[in-house]
Amino acid sequence: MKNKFLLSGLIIAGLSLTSCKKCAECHYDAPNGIVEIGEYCGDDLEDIEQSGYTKDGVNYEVHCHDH
Amino acid sequence: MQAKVAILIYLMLSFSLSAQEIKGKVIDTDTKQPVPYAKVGFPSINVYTDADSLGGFKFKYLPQSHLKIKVSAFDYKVLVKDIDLASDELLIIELTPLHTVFEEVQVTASEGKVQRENITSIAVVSKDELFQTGATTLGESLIQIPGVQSSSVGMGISKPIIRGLSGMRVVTYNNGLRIENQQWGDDHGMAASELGLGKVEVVKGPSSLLYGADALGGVIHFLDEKYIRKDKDELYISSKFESNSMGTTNEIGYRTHKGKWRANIHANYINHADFQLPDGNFIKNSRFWSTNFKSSIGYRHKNFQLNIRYQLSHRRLGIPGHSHNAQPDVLDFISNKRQRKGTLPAQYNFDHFLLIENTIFFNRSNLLLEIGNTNSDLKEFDEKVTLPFTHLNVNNTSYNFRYSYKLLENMSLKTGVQGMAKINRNRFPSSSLLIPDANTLDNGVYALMDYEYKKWRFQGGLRYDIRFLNVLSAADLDSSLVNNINTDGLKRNFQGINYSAGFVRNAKLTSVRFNASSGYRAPHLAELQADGFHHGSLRYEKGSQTLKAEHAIQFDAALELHFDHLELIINPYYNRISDFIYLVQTDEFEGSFPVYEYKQTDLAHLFGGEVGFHYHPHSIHRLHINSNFSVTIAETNNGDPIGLMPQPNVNTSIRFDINNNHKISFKHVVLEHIYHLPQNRVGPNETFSVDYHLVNLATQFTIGDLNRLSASTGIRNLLNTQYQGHLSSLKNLGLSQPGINVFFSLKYQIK
Repeated sequence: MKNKFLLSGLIIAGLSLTSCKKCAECHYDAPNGIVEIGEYCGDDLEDIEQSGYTKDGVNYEVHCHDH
Repeated sequence: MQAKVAILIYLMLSFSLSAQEIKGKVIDTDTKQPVPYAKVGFPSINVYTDADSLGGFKFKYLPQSHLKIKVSAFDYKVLVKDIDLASDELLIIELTPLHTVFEEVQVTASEGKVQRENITSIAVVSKDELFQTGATTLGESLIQIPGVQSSSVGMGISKPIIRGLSGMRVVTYNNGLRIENQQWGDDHGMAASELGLGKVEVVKGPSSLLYGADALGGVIHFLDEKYIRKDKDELYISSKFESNSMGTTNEIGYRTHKGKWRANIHANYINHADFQLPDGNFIKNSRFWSTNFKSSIGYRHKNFQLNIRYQLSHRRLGIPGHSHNAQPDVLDFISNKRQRKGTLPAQYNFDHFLLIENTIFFNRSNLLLEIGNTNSDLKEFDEKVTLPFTHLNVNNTSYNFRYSYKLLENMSLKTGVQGMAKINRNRFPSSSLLIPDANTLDNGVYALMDYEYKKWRFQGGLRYDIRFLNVLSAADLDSSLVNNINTDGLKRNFQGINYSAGFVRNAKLTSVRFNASSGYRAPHLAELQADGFHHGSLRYEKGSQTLKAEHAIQFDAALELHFDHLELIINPYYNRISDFIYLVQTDEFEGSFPVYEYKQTDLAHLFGGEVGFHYHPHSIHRLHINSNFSVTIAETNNGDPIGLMPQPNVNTSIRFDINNNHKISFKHVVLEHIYHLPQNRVGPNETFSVDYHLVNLATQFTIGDLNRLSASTGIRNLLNTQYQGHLSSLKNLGLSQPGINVFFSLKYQIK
């Protein structure tokens, strides 16, 4: 019985503590069309979605999609 | 002050007399012989029992008040009547034998009457009836109700339309709690679930008198499943599978009633992948999932009743019809591969509904005190995974205090105050605001008188409402956030004086009903302040701060004929709305999106009606044929059609009751045919819609002697018809609705 409680506790703790890192393919709309900029994950993804992508001194809004 | 409160409480409780047992007997009105095993109950307090083999029944701890009793038995006419429970005499209930019983008689929550005795146009449909042919969602199932249609964005998002009106003009109630959930947006679906649902009541037409502002089209009132009978409990699990979207619904429910306490608890999880078109392809991102929890806890003792209801819903809804191409093609929205994994754009809805409902019964009256809170959180993700395009929250606290008094045996009065405080807020971080922050305060006072004389019943009432709207300025916000709204603040008051008056005359063969009712609706934030894209509804919308409140008056008449084997109903109406606000598609486009403007016409005329029959032939007793036709024609004072009106439709169902006594016992087989007529009356730049037929087939059965395992199976869109509903957002993209869908559901009664 004690083991069952311990096992249940470990499973719950494991599930709660396992982080799920979100990744997405991103692109921006350049004057000549869509430019893919690859995959971003976690904090990098959040950063690039908020601050955009800078190329040749121009900051572009970035769009990302789950995959 | 404390002493006064104590005296008031004492006076209230002093009406609770000592515990009393109510005994009665059900007999046949002709032979005076006992009617065994009749179902006897009091709908308003949710208390029921079965009579014994000699027709006897008893109840304990009932309020010593006037209550409506409902008694039904096989082959007898259902009886609903007012009785005085303060009397010590044995209750003798006389039931009239009936050759045919058409359907179960429902007592409406709004008027407390059986359907044919209601003065307003009210339809009541049980959950079993709504889902008898396996509808995927609650919104889809509602089209079975005459005068009710729905608009949709894919499979997961649908909104009810009552007599041509929807969105902010239809108010949704959940057990007496007004639901506010951003219903202004075409892609913001109804915040209701079939989980733990008992029945749906639809009040058609302006209904401000009892339901407050905004209900110009009508009210959809969702009522929970009844509590179980005393000293019983029930535990079940159920599962449903649908082939079209590889969708599953898994549910668990528990009901119990011990002494003075009773409770219903339900939870479910729904998951659908992309739905399949009749040609075999799939609509991209039409996938959705939701999880819901619903609980009701009730306490009832003598003259006091308390219900606490809480509901939580979390939904993720994919928004189909999205493309990055400036000139999108139909092929951009479809795929030959079905997918389930969440992608963008999508909505996340998170709703909490809480209602605390107290009723105190006095000898000739009762006092209802309801306080509720709804919180609806909506995140729309468009082209960023971690940053919502918009994040809206609406918190609404409402109250409803109603005193119902029986002045005379045939005259009663309902009076009360009702109101709400609504707080609309944008949450951050987000990319854009679709509506500004705002505070809204509503208060209303009303009185409604009811008088019965022989076969006649008259009703009349008056209500005054005032709404204070304070739109907060958004000028301080970053300009990139507010490019979809007008940033100016706004303070406005709206007032409405509304009434309802009507009569019904019920004879054995005929029922005649007439009602005139009014309602008002203040323009919504989106109509006042919108100025930008709304990807969900696939259009660019422009509002106007100068819009006035709409006022509506509806004249509704009905003639019902009741023969032994045939019932007929004709229910025409005319709804006249002044200062009608409507969306007009302009010639302009912003990118690939058409531009729509909110405009106001001096007068809008909506007229039409519902015609139906129910045939139950004498020679084939197991057969029920139901058919109804619903139509709404809407036009401005100049005779120009008002756009976005649903197609007229004819719904016909043929049900054959089987009820055989074998290991597998079939309840019935239902064949349903829905014919949507063409919609040729369209607004400027709106496209016509062609007619289409849908056929559904379903059966229900139980397995085993104890009937613990019940099942339902069938096929929706049996002919795999390719069709575009007139109010489907996918219609503008040339996309069809779902093709053939085979469903199978199982319910196992564990306890």
